[in-house]
Amino acid sequence: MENLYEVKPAKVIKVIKENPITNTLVLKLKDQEKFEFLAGQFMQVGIPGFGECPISISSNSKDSKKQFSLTIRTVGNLTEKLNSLKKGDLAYVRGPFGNGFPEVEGNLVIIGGGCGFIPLRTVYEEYKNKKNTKIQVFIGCKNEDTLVFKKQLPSIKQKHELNLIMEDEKLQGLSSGQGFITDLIKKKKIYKKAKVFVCGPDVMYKFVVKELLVKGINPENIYLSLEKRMHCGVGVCQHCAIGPKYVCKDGPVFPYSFLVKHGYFK
Amino acid sequence: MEKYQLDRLLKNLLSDYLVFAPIKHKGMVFVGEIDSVKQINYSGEIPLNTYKKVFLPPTEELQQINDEKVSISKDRQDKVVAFGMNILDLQAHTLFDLVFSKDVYYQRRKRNTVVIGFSNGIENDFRKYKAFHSKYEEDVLEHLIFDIFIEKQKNANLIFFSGSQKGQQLLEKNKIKDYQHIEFAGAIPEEGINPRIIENREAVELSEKHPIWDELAEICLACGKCTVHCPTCFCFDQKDEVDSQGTKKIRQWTSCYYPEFSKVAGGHKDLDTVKKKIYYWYYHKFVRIPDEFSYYGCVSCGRCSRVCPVEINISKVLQSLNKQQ
Repeated sequence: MENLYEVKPAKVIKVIKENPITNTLVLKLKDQEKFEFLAGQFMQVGIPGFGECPISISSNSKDSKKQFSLTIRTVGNLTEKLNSLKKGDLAYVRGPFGNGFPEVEGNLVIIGGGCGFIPLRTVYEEYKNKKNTKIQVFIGCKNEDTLVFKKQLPSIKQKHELNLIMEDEKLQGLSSGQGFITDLIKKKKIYKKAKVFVCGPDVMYKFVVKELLVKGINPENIYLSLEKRMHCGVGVCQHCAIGPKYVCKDGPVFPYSFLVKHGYFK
Repeated sequence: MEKYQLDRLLKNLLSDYLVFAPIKHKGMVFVGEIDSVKQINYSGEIPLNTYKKVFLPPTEELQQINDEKVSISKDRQDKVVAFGMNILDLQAHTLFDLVFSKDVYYQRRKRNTVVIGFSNGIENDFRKYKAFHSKYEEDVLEHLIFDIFIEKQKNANLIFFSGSQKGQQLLEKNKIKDYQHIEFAGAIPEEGINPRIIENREAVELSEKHPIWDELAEICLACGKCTVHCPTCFCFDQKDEVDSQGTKKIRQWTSCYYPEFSKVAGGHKDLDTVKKKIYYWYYHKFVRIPDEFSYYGCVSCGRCSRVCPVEINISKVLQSLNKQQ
């Protein structure tokens, strides 16, 4: 029987500094050659003595099967410790857990608030070259110091549609004004029949969804990726339940309609 | 069969196993470790505490990390007998078996544990604990997980049942030949999920706006005693403990009433009011668990009501909700 709680050592093979508080750790499992996952899945990652926490996988699942990336913002003791790791250090991981984002057939709208863009970048990477799929990317964050994957943004802008907005400042050539992500959504024409994937802080969801509905987006096409406290990652420990489902096992991506049904937006 | 045969079985088990059984302490029945068969209380009274620590220890070491090497921790627990579990406690145990079916630690412990049920008359027990059960189910034992079950008849005669190969072997070894073997037929009866589970599920699911949750939130202290004493509560935290040997990964009981239960980075909590916590707990018992396992999330033992400092009574709450529908 597989031990669902067994952590595996993973070696840091590269550290990419995304911004002053966010690093991407490129990891390779020490005793395992192949590692497969889906865009939207997450890992439980820890440092001995500091516990573990769920972190979205930020690399492209269609790329190398030998490594994966976790992009981590420093928000507490463990994430601070993880972001101090250097090439050659070890993190201890379990996973991948959860389900990915649903398949996209037509167009795609990606809405990421703050570090919510991290799992969505994976989705973008997977669909950016797909025929007949146009992608609209919305990114909102506080300032340049909290913006993730900045270097990649010009290529998104070139290939598809990039809409970036920051609360505190403008970014020459990339951002469209100053303010909140909802200000951007209000202004833009959103692809009508597209699947809309949203990820960001909990407080953002109800405002973003409200704007999307005002724009006439079909609620059935809206999916949200949630952050919840989790311990086991496999739907047992009961920390992350929403109604009859578990964010770790059945999520972290849920259709908007499911969340409404279970009172998530009250 | 007679009492001396049961005593002989238990005496033999005591030499090889730690035995937990109902004992009377200051006028109340508890589950405790015994060292003599004389200590066992056969009143059939539901003990205030549960057997769950036998199957899910309050704190359990899962793994160790020393010098970059991960090793699976050994089970600290010896071979254990859980003796005297009543029908309701066996239902809770059966739920644990469903919940932890893929858990190597639970399964490992189960191999070293002997579950012995006891009843002073199953039918009578059903009448006594009828709160959430619609009717006496004759085939109740077929749907419970146990190794041995003993039913005491009115004339003091004992009827022995085995529910597993392990149980059969123990009975044979202890010269108890006259027993009936019950083949486990799955947790859910052929006729389907118990209608009372469906009724309660509906009552709780549709009750979010019911005033009772506000009324309960007014008085509930969110102390979590109900969850500690509940035989079907199993939620846990996982954390690290560091000592000179390295780091131990620990699993530890928690409660959805505790302040940190839903807290995420940045301080946000989904369960930020007592009302939400109470509803989360009832929803878990009466909707989420039945949905997931088609099984009881509450076995109506009443322990939560007995330990509640503000006398919240789960049966009465369910009755009010059912009345509203």
